Amino acid sequence: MNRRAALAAAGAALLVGLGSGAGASIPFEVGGVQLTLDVTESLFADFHLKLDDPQIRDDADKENVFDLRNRLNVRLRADKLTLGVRLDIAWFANPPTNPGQATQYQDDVRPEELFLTGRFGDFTVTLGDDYLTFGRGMALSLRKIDELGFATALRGLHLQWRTPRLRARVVAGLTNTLNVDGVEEKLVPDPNDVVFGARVEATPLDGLKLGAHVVDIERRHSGIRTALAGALGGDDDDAPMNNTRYVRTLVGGGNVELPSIGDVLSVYAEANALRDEDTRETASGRKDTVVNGLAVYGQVQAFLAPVTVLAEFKHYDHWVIGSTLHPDTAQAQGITKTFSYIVPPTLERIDQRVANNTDVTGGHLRVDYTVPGTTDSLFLSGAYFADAPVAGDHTTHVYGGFEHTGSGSDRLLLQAGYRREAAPDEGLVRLRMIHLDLDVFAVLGRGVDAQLHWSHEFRDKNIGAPSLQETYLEGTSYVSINLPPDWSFTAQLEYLTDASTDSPVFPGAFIQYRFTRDSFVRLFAGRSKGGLKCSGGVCRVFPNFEGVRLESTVRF
Amino acid sequence: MRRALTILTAVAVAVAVAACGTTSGATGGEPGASTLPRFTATTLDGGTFALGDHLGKDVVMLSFWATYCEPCKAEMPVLEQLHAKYAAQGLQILSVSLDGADTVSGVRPHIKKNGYTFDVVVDDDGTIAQAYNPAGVAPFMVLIGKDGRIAKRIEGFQASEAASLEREVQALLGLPE
Repeated sequence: MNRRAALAAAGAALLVGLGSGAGASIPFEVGGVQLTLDVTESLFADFHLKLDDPQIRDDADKENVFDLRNRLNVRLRADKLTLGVRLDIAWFANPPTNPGQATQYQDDVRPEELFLTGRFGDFTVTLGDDYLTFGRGMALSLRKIDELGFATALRGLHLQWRTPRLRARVVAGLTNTLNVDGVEEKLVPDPNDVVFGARVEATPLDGLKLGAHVVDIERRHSGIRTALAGALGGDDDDAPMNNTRYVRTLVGGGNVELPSIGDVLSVYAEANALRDEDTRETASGRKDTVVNGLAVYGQVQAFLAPVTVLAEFKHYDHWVIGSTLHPDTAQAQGITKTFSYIVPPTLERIDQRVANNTDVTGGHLRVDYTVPGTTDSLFLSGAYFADAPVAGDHTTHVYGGFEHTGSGSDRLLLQAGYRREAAPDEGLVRLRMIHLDLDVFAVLGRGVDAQLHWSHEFRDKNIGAPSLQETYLEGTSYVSINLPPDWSFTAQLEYLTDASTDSPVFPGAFIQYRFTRDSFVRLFAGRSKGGLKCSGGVCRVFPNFEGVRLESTVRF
Repeated sequence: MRRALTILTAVAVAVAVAACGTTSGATGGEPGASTLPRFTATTLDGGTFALGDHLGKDVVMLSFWATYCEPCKAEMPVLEQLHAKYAAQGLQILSVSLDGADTVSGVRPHIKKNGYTFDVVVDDDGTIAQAYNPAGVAPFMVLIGKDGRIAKRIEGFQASEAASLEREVQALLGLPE
């Protein structure tokens, strides 16, 4: 990618984005055809005082790095058709060069999403990029998390037929992952696995829903994948990676749902089985490996006012469906991961670091009690998981708290809990944690809102192994003041006192200005703690950030 | 590279042309002739919500939220009050959960526990977000007028703006303030 061209593209997109902020879609007419245009333009610009990337060896090489990422979303609609384009731009002013090593901090311009959707009666046809989830995400989950973060689409054909009692979907395409994401900011090629899937959902009786699905993931080195990806994308590299040829995964499953039994009970159950085929190159020749997996999930919800009950169960045995590594990715510094095609329910808090969700059996029970005549509730949640394949490993987590939601939109959530991850066969307690979480949303009067968040964890790791044992604190707190209609100010303080962190305090501040109700510019300055952070329901490990970050979203 | 620049140019020109159209008297079109994408989704209680049944007839409020989004939860009492006051006048509220498989089990308990009565659907595929909230943010609201056009989009929630939101709903319904 020519850097001057990337800069020009980023500048053009920025100018287009900042050109107008009408806050509603744009209707116009061409040749008597009524059209509507929606544009969402998002810009993210980072100045890193020091890039947090251990793969870059020279400290000076990762200082004062400026990068810009832009997302220009365009939706053009005419009658039954929608054309969607998302143009992604990444540009680095002075990227790390990492002499003698590979670097993936590269300028890039590409249409990351491109689709045409037509709705014709009961049929919907999408050609291009689309997202889909089968059931509870155990068989296939290709979702967009947020504008900046991780997203994987299926680039191909998605055909849907929907009537009041039947919904059938057939999909086929190549996996298209977000090539430059906002977390690692590195260029990652698409895996281009071929995915075929079909799902049928039926409502044979009122209050009873049935579903069944099959998924075939043809990964690198499968004959179908090599033929199709080679023909369509020129991507037919057949060299094994880490001596392994990842061939294919077949998944089949079904679910039963009773969404409302007498308005007091709701039941959902799903079971899936998989067959995973790999081939490993060994000294004695190629060795074929077949792994069979099983995933069962069940959920019962009861609404017996003033009590609400949620009970969940999971049993996952070898439940892994990952992508293949692209050769360019596998060889690159710092990126060795595949991405998962599935997101099985964890039964855990959204921000919980879950060590094992592939071979585990366990359950979760949560009871909420609403104080009669109020909007206040008390809740208690408990979970126990037996982690396989190491017999005896188990996790226990109990937490409870108080929740208040006022009619004036004031809100309070206070919860505390205890978690223990034990490995008795090794004489270890891997983690003992006490956590405290507080969220307050308050109307202060005179049009001023305030939001307060504090999450704090006391952590003990590797109790029983003196050389590895560590006790430390970790937390995130912020106070945000909204001065309607335009301004917001946020002060943030994070901390992490473990041995690997040189400077344990991470102060930062945001200032935000809204120039319309749906468009804003936000500036962050300071330090932000790396580690697990949750956005859009998915948690990822972020690197530390130190510097200045500008973010703007304009819709028109 | 040439291909990417061509696409960029095409997109930029389309946007610029459309933006110019906004200021040079874009056509209003016929009331009810909505070009907005239709969708059909299953509500939490097993019913069906078809946007096409309401476009050009009702005022529709699409409210995107998630169980892990605290401002979203703070916004919900406001939605419930609007639903109670204006549903009979033609306000159709659809609460669209962006929860994925990992958190979707908390959607129904939250709605039931708080006694919310507006329609709720789970956008598990991201189909609705792809059409109306491509950035996938929450809270995010889309207000569609009786003419079938998007009248307002609002990102984030500020409690102090509840009154102005109600005035906007009243105006779209053609009711006196």
